[in-house]
Amino acid sequence: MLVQQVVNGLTIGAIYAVVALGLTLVYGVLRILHVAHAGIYALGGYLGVATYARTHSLVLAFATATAGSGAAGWLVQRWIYLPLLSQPRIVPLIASIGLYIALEDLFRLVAGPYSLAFSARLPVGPLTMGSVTFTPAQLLVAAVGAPLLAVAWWVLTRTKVGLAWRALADDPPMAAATGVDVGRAVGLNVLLGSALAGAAGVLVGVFFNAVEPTMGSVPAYKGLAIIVLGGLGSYAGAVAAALLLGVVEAVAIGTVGLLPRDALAFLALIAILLVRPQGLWGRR
Amino acid sequence: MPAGLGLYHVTVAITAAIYVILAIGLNIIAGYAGQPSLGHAAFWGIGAYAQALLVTRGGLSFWEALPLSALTAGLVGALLGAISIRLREDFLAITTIGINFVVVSVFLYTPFFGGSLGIGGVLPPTLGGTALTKPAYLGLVALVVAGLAVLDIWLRRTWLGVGWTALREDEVTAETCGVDTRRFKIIAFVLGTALAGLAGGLYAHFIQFVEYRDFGFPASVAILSMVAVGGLGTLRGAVVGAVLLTVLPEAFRVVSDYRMLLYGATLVLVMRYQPSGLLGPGSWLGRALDRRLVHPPRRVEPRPHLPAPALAAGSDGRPVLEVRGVSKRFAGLWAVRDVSVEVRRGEIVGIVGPNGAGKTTLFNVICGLLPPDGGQVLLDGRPVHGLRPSEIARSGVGRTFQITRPLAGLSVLMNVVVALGHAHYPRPWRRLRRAADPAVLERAWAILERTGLADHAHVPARALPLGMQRRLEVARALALDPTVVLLDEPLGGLAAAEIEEMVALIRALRDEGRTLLVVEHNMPVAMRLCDRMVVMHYGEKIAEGPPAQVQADPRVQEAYLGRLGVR
Repeated sequence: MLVQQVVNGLTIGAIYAVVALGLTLVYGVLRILHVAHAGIYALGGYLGVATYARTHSLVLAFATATAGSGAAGWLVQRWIYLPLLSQPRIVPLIASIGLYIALEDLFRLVAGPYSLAFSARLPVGPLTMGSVTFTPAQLLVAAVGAPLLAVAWWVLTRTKVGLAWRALADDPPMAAATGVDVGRAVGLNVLLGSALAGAAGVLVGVFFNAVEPTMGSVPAYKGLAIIVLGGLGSYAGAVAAALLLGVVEAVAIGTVGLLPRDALAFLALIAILLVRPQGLWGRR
Repeated sequence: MPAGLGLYHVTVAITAAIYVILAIGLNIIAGYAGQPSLGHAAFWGIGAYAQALLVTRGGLSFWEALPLSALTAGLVGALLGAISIRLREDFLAITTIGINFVVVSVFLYTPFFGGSLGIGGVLPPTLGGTALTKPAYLGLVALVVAGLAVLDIWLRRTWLGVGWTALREDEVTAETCGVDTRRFKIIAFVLGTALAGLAGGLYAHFIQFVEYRDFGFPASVAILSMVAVGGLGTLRGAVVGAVLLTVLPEAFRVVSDYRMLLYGATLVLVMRYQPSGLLGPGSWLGRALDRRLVHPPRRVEPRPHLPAPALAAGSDGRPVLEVRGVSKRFAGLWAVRDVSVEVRRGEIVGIVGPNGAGKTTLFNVICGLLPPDGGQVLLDGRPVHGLRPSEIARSGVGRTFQITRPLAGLSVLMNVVVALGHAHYPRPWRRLRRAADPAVLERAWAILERTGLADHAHVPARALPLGMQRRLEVARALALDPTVVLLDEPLGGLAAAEIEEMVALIRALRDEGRTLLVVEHNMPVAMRLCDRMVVMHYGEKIAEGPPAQVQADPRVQEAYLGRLGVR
């Protein structure tokens, strides 16, 4: 029972992780609390479900979602974030919130207020190992989520552009002085982060068999809670915090029943920050 | 009420007025004091629930309960203020979101607060036995708004308001100007959240039914958007933003299906093209208004009989500043190790050494920005280590920064005025005195004359070239009327002529009895300027004495030039 809850929690946590990793990437180079990331994520869900309805191909659904979300994210940073970097931090934050509100309403206007079913036919059946059962959707999350995180990890740690991102996160003027093409690095960063969000949108759509206008409203702030918990700017911290939160939520709800789930996450966040103001894995 | 104003208009007007109160409160926290708050609606809710409970169960009248509701919200706000001291900017922003969620869940999941049913039966207030009608209530709320506007304008001009602005512009600089930023943050949170509580109390009697839904995170976002769209940090912005964003969605009802899309797009477009808000200080409208309405204080010619500094000139041999065995370690690396320095009144002591020798760290320990890991700092024989930087600044230690830290958005004149408030900041009632009164302005102008900045008094500090920024650093330190001045590379990056001016200024300060500690890289100038030099290398003091003696010291030559010859 507990093991099953942990597995369920890890599945949700893996989706959180894909969303949160994109959010941390953007935070790292732009220092912006990118609330509209949740809108980009919902966009991925819609692109995915629309593509799947026409082609019945999950591969194509993921492809259009990642491409579309990545492009949308790139446009957002070019048009809104870059010109606002010298402003007080609250300015891009409000712009981001406004963008999220507008996107959510746009989805409602275009696709209707109700949730669209995303009943993808998966090539595998449920897998039972001892007392634990993996649903096909869970297997899909594992099969897509893990490689996505691995690719992101590889880009971050093994490529030149990943190095540029880490340099930018550490000391932007110094990074620029050592020859980092800031515009290109930031663009690629948001592109990758948003593509991850798009893929997460499809995963969530398939996992819950639903894509709806408000699907981003919980990730919008929970994503922020996760990256803060992980210690703003720490990539590993964000992934770890996402998995942890997924498991804690699943276990708590499995054992206690109905709970103020979101408040719980934030209560934990506040308690942890009071003890460790730099987050669980953050540096001071 | 004029005919033609239906109940609908009255309702919208009351709603707008309540949002204006909320926006004024948030503007104090986020605009004046510069602290991010994304959970303002929580305090609105706390006020509303407090009012509803006090009236329906406590049997208090509207008038008795209203101050208590504001007080309740303010007390919880003090808690948030205390948290804000520990957390860096973005961590604090997210924490305030968290507080909003937690508070709303408490309302929702606690039977005491009526759970999902909320608390009903909050009747309209009575005045002289008769219940107030909606239009009369609008009059009452409008009166409250007017009163708060007056309060806001007055606060802005007091030392409290000046301290907040300094805190917003640069926390570290504010501390070195004598502003105890912790206290000023807490006051801002208490005042801002108390106003939210007041708005909550008024809202409870207006809506007559208090429900958790109204006070969630989206409401906080709405309030913050009002302040940001109107113009963060200005009263007019808070008022206009609140009215605009209350009325706009009502106007959008005509195109009701696109309401939220238009609302979101408005936020994006205003932030993108008028980032300081429609009426903010840097916006088109704001600048046009400021040109007409704001007149910078006129230049005051200092009177010739301006009181001379009360310091005895010349060195009397008594140590003013004693650094005893101070150490500071960063992650296992000793930045400063067991350094002792004695500085006598009227001396210019140079702290020299190669890069990374620990000179700036030593300064940061002396002025309280870093707590020492060991050792003592004594000012006039009194230990000051462990005190807040602002306390050390107020007890007579002024400092400048190597990388200049002006209060960038303030004028040069106001930069100096901030530091002139050092006598007022620690005392609650003196904080409420008007800051820029004629006596203060006269002193500020005198300091600007002395540092050669008078012709640039109204320029925003961020627009100053480096040479003048260095002089502004000195001017701010002087405004503290310091006995000891710590100058961190005051000549760095200056042109030859500017160096001579600065050297003359430093000598003049010594001649009026001040004591100076100077970190300097430029050895020839340092040798010429200083009475005595302390040489640091890898965090330790390796030599001390008159410049010529220090220069001849083989250890010093080795530190600067490396060991010559082969090992």
